Amino acid sequence: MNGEQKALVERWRSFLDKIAERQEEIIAEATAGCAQLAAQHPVDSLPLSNALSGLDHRIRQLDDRIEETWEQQVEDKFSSHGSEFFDVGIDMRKDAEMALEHRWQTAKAKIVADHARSLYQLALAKFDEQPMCERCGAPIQPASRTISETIACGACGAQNSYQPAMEIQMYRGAGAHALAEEASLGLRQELERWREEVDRWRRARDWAPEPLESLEQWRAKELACWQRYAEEKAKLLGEPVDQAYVDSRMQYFDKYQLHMNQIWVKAHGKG
Amino acid sequence: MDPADALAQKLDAHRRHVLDAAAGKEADSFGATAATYGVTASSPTPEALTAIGEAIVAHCSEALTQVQGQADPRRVTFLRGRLERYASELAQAHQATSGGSKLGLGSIFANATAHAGWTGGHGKVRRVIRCHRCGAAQEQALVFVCSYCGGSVFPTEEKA
Repeated sequence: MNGEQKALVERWRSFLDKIAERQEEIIAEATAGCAQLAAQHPVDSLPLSNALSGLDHRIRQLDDRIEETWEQQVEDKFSSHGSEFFDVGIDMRKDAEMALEHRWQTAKAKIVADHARSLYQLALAKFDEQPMCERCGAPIQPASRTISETIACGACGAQNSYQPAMEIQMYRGAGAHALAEEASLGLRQELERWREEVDRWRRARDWAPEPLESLEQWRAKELACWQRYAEEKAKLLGEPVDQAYVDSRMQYFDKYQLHMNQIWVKAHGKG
Repeated sequence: MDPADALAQKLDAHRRHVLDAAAGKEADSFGATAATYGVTASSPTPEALTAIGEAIVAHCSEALTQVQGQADPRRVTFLRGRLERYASELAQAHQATSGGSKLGLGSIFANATAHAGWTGGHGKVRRVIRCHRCGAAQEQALVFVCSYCGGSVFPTEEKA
């Protein structure tokens, strides 16, 4: 790398670092704001979800700035030094974009998971409440506090249509999903970084096909992500692992990724 | 449109109008807008916005009471929940949009609460079905013939 190239890399790095700093500022303020919002609406997930949609847009604007700056001011400068140096610039851009995306995913997953953790405490408190017959006020005993059921009152015989408390319903629905997603996010991001490495390996070999071992590794990593999610969710809900869910995700992956690849199909077929 | 939904829309319109006036986006000054709600204020302080919010709530609560019979009970419950928080949220929304955030995230948080409270009318832990004619409670699941008066627990189409 000559002096001019080094200076160009420095300037591009400095710009990308500034975008990352900006993102950190947004995340710091977003985390505080979301915590306040979640405290104001502990059971209702809609305000938090609305805020995160708005914040998604703000984060995407940072991506847009990288794209615009690359296309309008940087791309030509890198390409004027030849294709090898051009790759240096484009790799820096991709690394920065992926780092921004992963940083926001992690921050967002933590915000939603923190909400789920406080929801869990509220749900636990609801387990201690004794449901009463709506007609005569005598205690009724649901078989489970987590599912809807009809319970005959032992005192007056009235049929009580029992529904789990909203705190319990919300935790079992959105809460457990958020916590399981947070637990499996690291694996997913590791997989994405590895896929980028594979792409660069292929590019360095004139876009050679990905070897079968690498494809098999890809499948194993994809399976590990979904398995981790399903196992964590099962643990949180005290239920068996939903293997059908994992299988359905893998079927989708096989169909749209591996079954499109001739090397995979030749070795394993489409079964 | 359900009368409760119409009132909810009016609440949204008032919110926009007051926040725009507070941000200096309206033709009238904030003081003039405040005066239309019966509030004397020269600047959009949290107290002034809370007072305006309370005036809107008082007006809408009265209107809600008048239409309560014709509105969906769940929507009425939802709207009552919104009215309880409306005045304080109006002040918070202005604070958030006007300088609470250096990065301009305030409006995101201010708008996030606009439709909060959907859980308010749901999640009742238990219910007992009662005969629409005599009020006796259902005593056997999935049997909808009243064990006291012998009539249908739910009104039939002919009788409804």
